[in-house]
Amino acid sequence: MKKIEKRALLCLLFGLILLGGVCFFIYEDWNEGGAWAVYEGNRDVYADGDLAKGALYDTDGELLMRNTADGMIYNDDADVRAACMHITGDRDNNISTGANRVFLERMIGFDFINGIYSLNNDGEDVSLTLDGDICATAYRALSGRKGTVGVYNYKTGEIVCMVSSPTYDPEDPPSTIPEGAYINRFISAAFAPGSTFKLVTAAASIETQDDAYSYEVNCEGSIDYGHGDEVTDLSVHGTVSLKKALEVSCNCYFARLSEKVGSRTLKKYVKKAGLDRSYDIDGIETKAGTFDFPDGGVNLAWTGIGQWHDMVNPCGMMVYMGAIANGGTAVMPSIIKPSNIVSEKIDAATTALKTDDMIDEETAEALTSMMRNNVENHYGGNSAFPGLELCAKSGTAEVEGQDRPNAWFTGFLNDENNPYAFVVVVENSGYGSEVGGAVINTVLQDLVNQ
Amino acid sequence: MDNGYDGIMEYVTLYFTTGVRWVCMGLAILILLHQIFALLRMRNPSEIWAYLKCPDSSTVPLTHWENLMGRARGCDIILNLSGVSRSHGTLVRDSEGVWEYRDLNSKNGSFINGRRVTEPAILRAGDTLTVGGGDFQLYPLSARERIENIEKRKRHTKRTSPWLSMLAITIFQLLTVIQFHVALGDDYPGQLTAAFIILCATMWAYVIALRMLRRTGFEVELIAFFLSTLSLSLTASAYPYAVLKQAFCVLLGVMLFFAMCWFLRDLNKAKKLIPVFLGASVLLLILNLAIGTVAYGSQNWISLGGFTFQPSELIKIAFIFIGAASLNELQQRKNLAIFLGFSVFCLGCLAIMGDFGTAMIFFATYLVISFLRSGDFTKMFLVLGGAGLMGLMVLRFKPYIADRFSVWRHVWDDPTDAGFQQVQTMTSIASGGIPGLGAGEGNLSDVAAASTDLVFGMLAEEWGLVIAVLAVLCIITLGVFAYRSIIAGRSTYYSIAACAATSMFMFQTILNVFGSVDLLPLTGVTFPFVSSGGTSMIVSWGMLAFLKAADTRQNASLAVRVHEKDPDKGLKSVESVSAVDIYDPEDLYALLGEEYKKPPKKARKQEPRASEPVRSKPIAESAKPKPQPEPERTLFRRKKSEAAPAPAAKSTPAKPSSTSAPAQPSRTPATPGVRREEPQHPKAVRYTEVSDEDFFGKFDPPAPKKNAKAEEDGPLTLDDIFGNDGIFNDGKKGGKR
Repeated sequence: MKKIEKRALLCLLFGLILLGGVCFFIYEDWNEGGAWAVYEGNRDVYADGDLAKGALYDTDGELLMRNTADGMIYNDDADVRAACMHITGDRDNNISTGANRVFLERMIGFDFINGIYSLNNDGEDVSLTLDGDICATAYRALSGRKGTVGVYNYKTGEIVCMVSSPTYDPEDPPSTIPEGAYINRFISAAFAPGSTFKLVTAAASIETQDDAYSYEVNCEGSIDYGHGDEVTDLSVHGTVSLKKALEVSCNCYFARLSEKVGSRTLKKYVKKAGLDRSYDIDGIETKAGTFDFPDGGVNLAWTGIGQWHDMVNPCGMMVYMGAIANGGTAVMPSIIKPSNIVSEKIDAATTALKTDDMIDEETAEALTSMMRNNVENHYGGNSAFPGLELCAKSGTAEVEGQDRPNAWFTGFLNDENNPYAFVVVVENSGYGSEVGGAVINTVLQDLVNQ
Repeated sequence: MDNGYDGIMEYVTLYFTTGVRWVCMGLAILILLHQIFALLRMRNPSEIWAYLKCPDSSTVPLTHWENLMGRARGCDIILNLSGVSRSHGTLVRDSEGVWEYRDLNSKNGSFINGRRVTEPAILRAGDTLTVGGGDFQLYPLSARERIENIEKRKRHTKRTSPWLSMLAITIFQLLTVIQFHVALGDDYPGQLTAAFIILCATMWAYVIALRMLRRTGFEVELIAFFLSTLSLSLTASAYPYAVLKQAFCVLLGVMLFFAMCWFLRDLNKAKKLIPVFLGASVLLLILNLAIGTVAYGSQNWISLGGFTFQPSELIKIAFIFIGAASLNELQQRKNLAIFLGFSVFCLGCLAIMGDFGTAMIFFATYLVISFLRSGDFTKMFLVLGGAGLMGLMVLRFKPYIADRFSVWRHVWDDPTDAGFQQVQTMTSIASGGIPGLGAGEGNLSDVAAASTDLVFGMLAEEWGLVIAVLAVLCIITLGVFAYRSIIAGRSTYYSIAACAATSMFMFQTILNVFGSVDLLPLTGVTFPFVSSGGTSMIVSWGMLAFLKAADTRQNASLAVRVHEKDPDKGLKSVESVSAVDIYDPEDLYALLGEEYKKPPKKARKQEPRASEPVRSKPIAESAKPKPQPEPERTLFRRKKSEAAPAPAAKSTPAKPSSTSAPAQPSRTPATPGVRREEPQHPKAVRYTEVSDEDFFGKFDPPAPKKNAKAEEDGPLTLDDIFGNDGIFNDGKKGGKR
């Protein structure tokens, strides 16, 4: 008997294998369960290959989109439909940031605890932070030009406006879809930032150079780097300091400043600003910016001016504005309202609410006052932006093969009651402050006065 | 109005499913954890069957029916004498209580009463067994010790009342039926209600019947009943019109279980039927090869008169019957050869049928049994190697099996074809979440073999991950239970059978669960008790009997004999005992002194020059006066034996009578304490419950004669004291010789 007792341990080995395997499987389920549940072959979710559950609402409770057995139902307003098409998705599921792709788990109502169970098998209602009317305003303000408008509350992180153009009415798609309409420019594109990037170069100088504010350059309209390479300005600015150079967006000054700060420091500050990273907005991954930091010369000069190989994602720039407005640290952007207090707490516990320090608090204050100075003295002040405590920086990025430059306009409202940071990109349009300023003024007026 | 009512009903049914998922999960946790913990928590203290008096006058309690004697560490009785071989001999008690000694070709031989043991010889009480120059004697327990052991075992055996769990299972079944009404609406098959009523009635009838037979251990059965309930519900989802059949198969399974439990009680009788099983199995397999029909890629079904079944499932029971072996059989080549031949035959037939999964199960069980039998790793590796080669051949000749291996761990690369079933299982498991979607609400049931091969996925989808995992834990628990039962196991036959049966369960579960979620290639075997399928259900219940036969907890199992054959006799002993009041163990301990409290293990370790023989005290005490011998005698006597002074040393060794002697003083101190605390009657009833047929049972041929003699002669004999237990009758004869 004693011998059998020892040998029978072999039987327990089976038990251990079984137990171990089950534990391993539960771990797999925990990790992969969401992906399994949303798999298009899941019979509990798809009927005949079509998703028939889940709905999308805007921040005011307006229906943006609902999946039904008879297909997708959209908002009644055609402008809202077109403006929000990049988040509601089209009927053929071509939009990579469409809700039926990025929020599938939420639309189905999947979580590890409940599986895909929902009352009456209706799926879940997903409420967005977006305001459908504001998006429609922004869509109209773009008036058919390619580009993007993004606005977010830099105190809470809620994205209130996200529009990408070209777009179309998903309920009534045009016979030929405009080229690039499937791309959400705010999330999935990157553009040369032009002069908006000078804010990063300025921040690097302020935090690393003792003479940042007193350092002056005599702008003669261009700097010759030999071999036909030069940095040019539209006009001769004369001797300028940092504040003035930012106001007039003096290329010569920032060319010299880039060389003074140096390639490595510039790279460090791009990284600190988060422009080379991707953000996770409730499961939507933004495109990371890309840079190339030459050791010196004309290419380094242009890098510090926001040209050369600089490519920035609009959302990333908007978050950087949020950091300046917020005293150096940005609140992470979000697009989904927590459905209840529990999931809010879970979200808070599991996701980073704030970015790392992007700049020092003093630097943020200095940049804020300089950006306010830009608006007051260069972008038209109160007459162009009535009633808005606007701080901004424009950018006019030359793009090869385009007749006109891309207009950038980015900044924030320095206003406790309306804490909004924004970014506007209008492609192939003209000067940043003129074109972008007009678009964002329309949007912000609507937002502040609603 | 009508609309309003419908609206309300719609609302109610909507929220019913929402709620019932959690309620059922809670009930399942209550039922299964209750039973699982009861099984894991249980301690099964050893039974003592006899004492072996050693040359140094110490005694060793024999806690199994089958004991290996020798110098080796693995022996049950370790003899530290120089002339003893590593495995010297076996000392085996049969279910009638007769002890038999066998010499295992030891170097120096063994002798009984000076005669060399060449063939298995019966060892009677008082016979001198000479091993390695030392003289050993076998003594039965005094009745007092028996009572004490039983009391001790009863104290250590925690009883779990079945009623709460049964009520919970019944509520669970009721909710399931209502949930199916909600889920299926007009498609609700009428036979579903009937099926659940049959299952529920079977469970209550079984438990009540066994309570009437005074059995108290139901953990294993309740687990099986719960799993059967799940099986019924999954069958209802997948094959709504096969539910009634499934319910009848549970009933048949319980009947088979009952019959096998009864059958396994008497090992000698059970073993006589092994050739019958062997022949029947071989015939059945040949029949299967001859007239079997092909389904799901393998030819393992027989259709007889509209009734289809899988012979290979039924053979599982025979396989374990034939594979298990008692200690003496372990020493025989012939027995092993039969098993080996039968295994090869089974595997060969299964290979021809193309039933790869079942072949794997048989092979794994074969490995377990042969390891339990031989403990020889070299042999195991040889067998494993051969099997590996065989497996490769199978892979080579059966491309569809190779396909299953090629997709293994890559099912998501081909989710619509080769990996279809696994992918569907995994998505369904994710869909179900923790409490599941509700019975009948899942969609995996539309996939082929969902309620058999993919049953884990269906379970998790409709009943939730918690219940699915609990079902697996149940199977593991049965395995742990089987292992732990060995410690107090009577015969290696029961222990090997229980371990083999649970290993088969666990291996089947491993193949089923891991196969369906892509941890292993999909082999298409059933999950014991849970999968749809009649034969599988019946056989699962049948296999459970092997487990129950190893459950030696006091009064726990039907498969372990407990009660009295002669009700008159039992009644008499009840009265006698209550009159004497010595059954309270605490008082006995108080009387018996310190040595007695020492755990038996200490006594087991032999030291030739032990200065304190553990049980020498009773001998010394044998000289004590016996002021009131009558009550002591009536206590253990049968009805007809009249009180008469016992000539202590009459023809038997002094030892047995002397051990019984200290029982007398116990009377006086014990009486007040017990009477004060508890009424007599319940105690007395409990004693009937624990009275063991083996203690008071008959050794048929000589018994009547002896009894009759005792009646006539009047003077108390050891027969009268201990019952005509085989040992004792023979012991006396031996003494006279």
